Amino acid sequence: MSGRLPYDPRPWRVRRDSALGNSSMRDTLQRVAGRLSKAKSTAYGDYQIADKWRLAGVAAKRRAISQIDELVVQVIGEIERHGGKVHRARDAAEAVRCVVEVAQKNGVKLAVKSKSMVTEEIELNKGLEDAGVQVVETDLGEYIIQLAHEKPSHILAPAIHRNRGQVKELFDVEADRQGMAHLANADIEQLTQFARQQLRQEFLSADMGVTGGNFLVAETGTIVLITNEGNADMVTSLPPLLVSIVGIEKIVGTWDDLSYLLQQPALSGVGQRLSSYTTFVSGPRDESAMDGPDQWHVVLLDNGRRNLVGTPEESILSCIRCGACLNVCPVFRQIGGHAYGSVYPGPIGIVVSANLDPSMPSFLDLASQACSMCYACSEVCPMDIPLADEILTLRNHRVKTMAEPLLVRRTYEMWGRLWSTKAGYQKTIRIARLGQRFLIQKKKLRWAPGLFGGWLKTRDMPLIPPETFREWWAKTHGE
Amino acid sequence: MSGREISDVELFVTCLVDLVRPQAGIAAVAALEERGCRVHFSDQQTCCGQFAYNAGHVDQARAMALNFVQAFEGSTRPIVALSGSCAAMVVEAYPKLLKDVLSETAIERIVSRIVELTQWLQSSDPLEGAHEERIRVAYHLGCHMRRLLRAEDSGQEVLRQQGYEVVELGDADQCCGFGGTFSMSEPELSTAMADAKIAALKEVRQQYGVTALVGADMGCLLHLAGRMIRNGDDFDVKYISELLAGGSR
Amino acid sequence: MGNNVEERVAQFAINWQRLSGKIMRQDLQETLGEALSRALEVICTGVPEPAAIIAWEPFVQDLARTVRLDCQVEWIGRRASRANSIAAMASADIGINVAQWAVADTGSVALYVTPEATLYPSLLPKQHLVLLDVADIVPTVREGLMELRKHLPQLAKIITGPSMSADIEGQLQIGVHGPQSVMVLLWASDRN
Repeated sequence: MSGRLPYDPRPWRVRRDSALGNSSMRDTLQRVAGRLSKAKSTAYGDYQIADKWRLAGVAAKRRAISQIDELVVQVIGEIERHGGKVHRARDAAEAVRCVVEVAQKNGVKLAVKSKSMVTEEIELNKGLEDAGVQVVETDLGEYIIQLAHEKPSHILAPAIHRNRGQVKELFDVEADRQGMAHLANADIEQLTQFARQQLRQEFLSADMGVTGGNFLVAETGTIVLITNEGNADMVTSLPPLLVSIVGIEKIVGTWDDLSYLLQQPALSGVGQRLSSYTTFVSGPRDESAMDGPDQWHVVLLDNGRRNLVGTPEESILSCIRCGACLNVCPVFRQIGGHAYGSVYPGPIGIVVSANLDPSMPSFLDLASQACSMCYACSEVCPMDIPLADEILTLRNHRVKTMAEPLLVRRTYEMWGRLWSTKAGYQKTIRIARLGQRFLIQKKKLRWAPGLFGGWLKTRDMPLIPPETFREWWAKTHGE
Repeated sequence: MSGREISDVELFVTCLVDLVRPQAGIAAVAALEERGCRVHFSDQQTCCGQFAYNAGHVDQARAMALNFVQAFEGSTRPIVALSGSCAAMVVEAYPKLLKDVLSETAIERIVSRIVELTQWLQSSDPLEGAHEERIRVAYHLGCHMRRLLRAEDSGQEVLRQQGYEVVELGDADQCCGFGGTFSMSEPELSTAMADAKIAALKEVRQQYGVTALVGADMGCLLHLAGRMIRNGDDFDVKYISELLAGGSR
Repeated sequence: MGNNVEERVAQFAINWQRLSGKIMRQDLQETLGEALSRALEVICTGVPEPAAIIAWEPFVQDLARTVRLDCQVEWIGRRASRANSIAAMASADIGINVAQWAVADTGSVALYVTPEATLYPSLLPKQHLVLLDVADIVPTVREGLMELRKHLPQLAKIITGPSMSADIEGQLQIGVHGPQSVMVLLWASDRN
């Protein structure tokens, strides 16, 4: 069964141009993405075990995917044995319904969330809010974009598209709402402390905590959460009720597998050997203990994942959401996350969105629109997902399913037919020479038909010279 | 030339060099001949098919790949390609593309002969008499040459051997935005990427006074030069062979 | 990779400090209580008096009784109800925990929730102090995880540096939700 993902209904052209027009976003993005990419290569470079363990981790992830059905059964058994309750959700709607039911049954009014891509995927906040539950995002970046009613623009740095002045404006509105004084200026430290104070109250009074999960270890039913801020620690230890929503592809078999994988998100994402906080939840609070929820619910989400197991695309399920492919992608560095129109941006976003939810044409189109085939993503992926090849497969699928505009299709067909013989190739030279005579203005080409016209929109193109190389060769070396 | 062994090579000139920059091909022939090669040119060659392959048009790419095989299967000479990207196409994509129409050995026979120009030049002896004065040039390494061919140093190396001082651009590993037909179907985005590369070039122009932008992939160069010209900047952009033939110095 | 204790200590110290973590070590002629006093004097600098310090674990509470400080402090321990305890800890300035183990090559310390130990001291105050027995430093994360798997508390965490975020313009900020400042006090038990 395939999944459903939220999408931005604006056409690609609009999404792209609005991103390209946002110069402050692009500046920040270039700087931060460039810095993170460098940090990643340094982190692996000066750390002997990093790459060896990475490879063991890749093997562990691939193995887990091939055993996914068994591992799901095992993980359910383990979580329930430790007092947790597992719910299986086939799709986004089921997952949301399930969390809403748990919230309602427990009279939840306020939920605090740590950062989780999967809850973006299922649009959990909307579901909870529709059911009258207030949801507060507690990751600093997520908090900012929640106040702005936006979606994350980067897997790791969701508010990377906003500058400090824009953040202050949002916080001022929040201060007004609570009758507090505005911050004196848009100092980043002050902004951060404002968020700390605001969110501290929410943590202490929340009825429910919501997390995703970076890894889920089958042999003990342990969820592993990785953060740098410590918000997941608040969410897992303070509220009386905890709901963790995890895609089934996050399951790994054993702690041995986990040990090779645990450092990879931080190494690849931010160039640290570990993130500041790695949190392990293996069950609800024991009566004798202080920390933790009285009830722990785990929602195992499919939403198109199981469908990919056993297909050539299954390796994309190994993604650990480190963001390395986003940081290195030259297209992402120009347009940021929102332009993709999916909650999953960047190279992995193209691949995951179109494969989880094949019903959405705009996801498939991204493969052609948002990739220059530079292979930087494939090179950088710590889980060895052949991202560029996967994008190429999607492009091919787009061609096969006639999803391209007819004119484009015909262009390739004609071009391919002509250039697969010498005679056809020479014919195109004659046509081009004839054509450019008509199209030339002030010694330059200003317009050309169809696909070729795209080039001339923004760049010049030299004319076909009076003598091509092969004509020169025939003249000088000819029989 | 004395003392050099003559080796016979096939030239794969590539469609872009053939059609818009023949002087790059002519210079490549000269550079090869000066280094003791006898250059052969099969005029059945057209295009490696990469533009179609990377756009997902596998059938068209396969037809062009088959033409490529036919153009070169008459000999066993090394095939020197004037593009890292096209060489990578043959090495990386042909085995997948042709596996249902040709035998593994037939594919291997073609694939094993492909070598990109600077890789070839790097393995042959450099010309004597390098520049007296150091000429500084900026070098752009194409993504496929970097990541698929893994020929990260050959271009800079042969330039240095001939006495050029090579300056790398900042964020050199970032794509220039050409991307084959991506440059035509996504001109705005493709050009935004070009502008980032051109900004990096501007920095080394100011800082090191480089006199030209040099590369071993015509697509990237056409894209970057075309953008600069459109903006009224006629900075010198050269295909690498144009700096390596003795006559050019 | 750190075959003996001193090598591991040295490596741990490098990695912990790389993440802006502070480190102190018990002197040979000093009791642990004296070492803790010395550490707290440093941490208390800049904290308005009386500094509220969480001493929760029995080991820490026993130790706290021997602490002599120049500054005024208030010790926070278990209250009548869980809610009261949490409220008290939430307003504390300094939290103290005993590390279960630490990792040399990442500069990390691990804490478990047990009937006697809580993670809140590591989370709610702005200053966190961890007591680490040098014998508990393992070379890599793998050894630590095997240890964790054996005990499998309901809740556990590995701390690697202070609470931080680069969510606004990519500028690094510390002390986002958890502590701004983390210190490890290294000591050597009889096991060494």
